[in-house]
Amino acid sequence: MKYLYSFIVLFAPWLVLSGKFDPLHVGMGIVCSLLVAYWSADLLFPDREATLADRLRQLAGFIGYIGWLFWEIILANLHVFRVALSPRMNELLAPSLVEFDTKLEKELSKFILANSITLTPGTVTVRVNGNKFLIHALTKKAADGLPGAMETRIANIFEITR
Amino acid sequence: MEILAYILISTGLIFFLGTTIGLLRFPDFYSRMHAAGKGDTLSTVLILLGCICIVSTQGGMNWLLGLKILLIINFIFIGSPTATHAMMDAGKKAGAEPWRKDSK
Repeated sequence: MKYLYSFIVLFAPWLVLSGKFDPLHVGMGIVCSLLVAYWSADLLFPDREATLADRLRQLAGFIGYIGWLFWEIILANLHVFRVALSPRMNELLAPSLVEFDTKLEKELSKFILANSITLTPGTVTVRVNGNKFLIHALTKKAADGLPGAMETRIANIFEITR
Repeated sequence: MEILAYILISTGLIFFLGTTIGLLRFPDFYSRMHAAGKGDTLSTVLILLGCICIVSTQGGMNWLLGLKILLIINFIFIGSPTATHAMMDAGKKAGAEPWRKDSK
């Protein structure tokens, strides 16, 4: 099955990027995708036990998460905007470095959490070391809200024990 | 559709303005990265979404162009926070002190 998944994952971008649907180009795409899928399916889908339903649920959860994240990003921008334009900027700013332990275990979910923290209001990930996240927070309010709802959401999508 | 595109692009430009003002006004390296890292992502994504709206009204094979722009958005979403993160880490390693209320 993993060969089929890899083939689809490789072939869809081929179609989009080539944009030509004559037999020659599509044929080349099929051959290349098949070869690469045969060689590297293990790299694309390292966890073997997951079933199709699991993967689809992860995908749906991830798309929902992206939507939520986009809203958070808009809030983050308004926040930076307000602080940047405020005449009393120095009173609003209270930068601090916060360290916390995460309960996430997979590398992928840590990566997503770190990037999401960077994109959301008043916080930027400085360093991830094992389970420790070092966060730079712009205001006091942002520092208090860590790690917050985001970690739970990511855990629900990617860390389900089967 | 075109009106929506212009709204999206102007909003993106306004956010870019906010980012730039933040970049210039914030007191230290770290807080400047806050402005740069977040504003960039949202405004670029908004402008590209506007481009998709314009492109999709032109008909023909242009939906492929729209999908390619979606791919660019995808890479920006992954790349921009990672770059911000790398620069923050480099600043920390180089020993840049975070600005505090009581310093100066």
